[in-house]
Amino acid sequence: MNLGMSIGVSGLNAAMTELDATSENIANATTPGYSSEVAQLATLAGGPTSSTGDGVEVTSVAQVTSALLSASNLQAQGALSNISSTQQVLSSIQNIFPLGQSTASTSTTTSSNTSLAGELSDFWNGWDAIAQAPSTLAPRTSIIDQAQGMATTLNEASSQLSQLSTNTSQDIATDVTQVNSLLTQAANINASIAKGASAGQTNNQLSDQMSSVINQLGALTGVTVTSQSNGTSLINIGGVNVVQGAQAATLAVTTTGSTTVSGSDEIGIVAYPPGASASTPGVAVPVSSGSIAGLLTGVNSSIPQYQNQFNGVAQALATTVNSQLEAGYNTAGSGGNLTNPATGDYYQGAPLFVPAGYVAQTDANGNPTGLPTVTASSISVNSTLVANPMELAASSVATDSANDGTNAQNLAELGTVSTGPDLAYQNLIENIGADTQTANSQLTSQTAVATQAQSALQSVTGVNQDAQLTALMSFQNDYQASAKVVSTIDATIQSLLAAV
Amino acid sequence: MTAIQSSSPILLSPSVLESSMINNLNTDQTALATVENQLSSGNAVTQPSDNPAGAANILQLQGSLTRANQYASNAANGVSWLSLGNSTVNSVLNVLQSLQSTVEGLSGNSLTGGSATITATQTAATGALNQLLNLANTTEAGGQPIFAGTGGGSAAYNADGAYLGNNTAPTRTVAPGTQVAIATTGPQIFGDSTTTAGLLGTGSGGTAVGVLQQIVNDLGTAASATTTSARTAAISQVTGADLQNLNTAITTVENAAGALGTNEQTVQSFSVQATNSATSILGELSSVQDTNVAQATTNLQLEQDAYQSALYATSQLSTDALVKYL
Repeated sequence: MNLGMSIGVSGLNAAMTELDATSENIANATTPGYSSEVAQLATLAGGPTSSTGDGVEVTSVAQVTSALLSASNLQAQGALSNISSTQQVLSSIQNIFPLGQSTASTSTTTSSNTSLAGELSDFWNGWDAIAQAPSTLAPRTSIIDQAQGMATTLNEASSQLSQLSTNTSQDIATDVTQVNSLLTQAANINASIAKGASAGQTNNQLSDQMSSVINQLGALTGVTVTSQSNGTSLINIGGVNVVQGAQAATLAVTTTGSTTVSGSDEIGIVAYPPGASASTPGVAVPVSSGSIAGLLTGVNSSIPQYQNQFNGVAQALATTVNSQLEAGYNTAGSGGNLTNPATGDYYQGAPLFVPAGYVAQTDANGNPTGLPTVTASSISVNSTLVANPMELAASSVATDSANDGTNAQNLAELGTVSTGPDLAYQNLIENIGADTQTANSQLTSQTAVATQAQSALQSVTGVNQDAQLTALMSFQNDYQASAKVVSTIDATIQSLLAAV
Repeated sequence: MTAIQSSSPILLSPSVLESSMINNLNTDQTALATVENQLSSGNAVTQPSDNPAGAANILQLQGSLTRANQYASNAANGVSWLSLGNSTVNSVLNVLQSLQSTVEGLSGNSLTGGSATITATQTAATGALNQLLNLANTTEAGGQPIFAGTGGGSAAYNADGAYLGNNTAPTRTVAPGTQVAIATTGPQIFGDSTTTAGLLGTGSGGTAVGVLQQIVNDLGTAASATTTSARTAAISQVTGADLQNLNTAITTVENAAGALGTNEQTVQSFSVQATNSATSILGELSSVQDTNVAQATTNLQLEQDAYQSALYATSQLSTDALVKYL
């Protein structure tokens, strides 16, 4: 009879623990890193005289986990952060190169464009305006203005690209600081887990904290985690162990010694083992996942690639215009000082686009030599020509041709040459458009993959409120039933006592 | 408790539901914004990633369009030069033909009418010479002499009738790689007065005596002749060889006028061609660039529906739960 009472009490205890676990689950339904808990029950074996058993016992409160789903979720979230950062960098690059189109008007046959492409079109047409009146100043002044406008556009876009590169590097540094703080937290949690383990305890709350830290790390750098026998986690980034037991490495941003396509220094991540001084060389960490990987791709590859391509546009503009000017002659109507005393011919045309701080170079006959090399950041308009636009080489004839605009006409036709800046710029627009489009669609599909992975993990380890509430009712019934057992046995004993 | 572990594949936790709802809302909102942007801007391609090849194509077409409009403007400029040239050459013809008839009328009455007729004819010839010099120095609106080729300053001929320009006619680009001459150089009409006698040479300042100056000179000889035979000889020089030279010069000017007329027609047809090509490029451009309003409006409706459904689903998320019925 007393056995029945104690079985009832064991049932009450078990139901109470189950109710506790369920309450904990419902309370933590939205806690990041939380894995739902389950009270593990087992039959309490009876003594040698008991054939019924001694009731029920709670062996442990276990966490519902899935190593496979956790790992694939971690991987998917890392990949998502990676492509998301890449996409952000590419969109930012794309924003630097607007299409600049106005709405095409159907009432007139014109369509203006405010981008570099539109400036180029107007620039080429400006040479025809010079050809229509080679000895007038106005069209020449306007072409100098247009050239300066384009140089400014090129300079500004180039400096925006540099600024983007700087900002992205700063984002990496911020992320690395955050990673270092997370690594320290992980090492501390490991230390607590190890201490508990040596005392024979498991602590679900510490595991939950660790899983939250690991998820944050995964989104930043992509980590792989190996559970150790004492319950601690071995955290590894790109083959380098960064948290082992209570020890955490420190990450830092550094230059790798390589250079990018645009000639800037490539940056990378190194790890300093715990206790190592910052002066020792760190271990290179190949980060291939997480937002840091995406940002590194941006700084080391995407931005330099477009910087390079944009420099190509500036160089194509300078080369195309300057070499045509050099083929022409400088026949300003005001002219005596512009003729070469040795030959009596007009001087060949000076370059229009030169690097900032350009010093004119001439050969023995006083003709300009060498086509200057420019970049998008250095391109500017030759100050000699700004001071006297009449010196623009509009003529193709060495002598007696004040009203010759043939060279200007030739220049006007250069908008369509295959090595010209227009095509180079169109290619750049097409490339950045295609890259951004690809990143956009990768982001969309990776978002679906990551959402799927998270749903799969959460469906196992997460808290479904409906299920928990159903379980809650069932445990409540269990508790009430066990209480009923106790009261029934009590009543039985009372009735026996009364009968005696 | 085993219920959780062995349950059907997807058991949604609030955080999964929440994040997937937010994702869906964001996706719908982005799609809606894209369509709204297309409709409000009128551009189907607002950034290169909308349509990379289309974006490059738009830039290229806009470049071609701007260029085609410039060809039209070049051609219009050429037409104005050529029509000015044409009317000037016709004036030259009128002056020469009127002098021709005056000189032709000389033979009959000059012997009897005495020096008055001769002097009047001489004055007419001198006047014609001055008129031609003015016409030869005609300038277009920008001040450039139209018969000076691409050389020279503000005039094609000096007062002595010497040519100051060069022998290259200015051109205009009227189609890709196509340049047409928009004027005739002075020597082709008036001669240069040095290597050929031409119409304008006065014989001073290093120039040869031109056709008109020769008539003036010979009439001067006739007027001042003291004997009838000398006068007759001088007059017959005017009505003979001089008139012959004048006729030849008229033929030359007529040919030049014909050539200018042909050129004007050519440039005019290039002008029409450039305008047509601008129109067709614009059509092509708008097919790549412009929003298909019917399609975008339909898409807008679809996206609005999708967004509203997503919003409704989100609003139901918190209300439809077991907890409500307990």
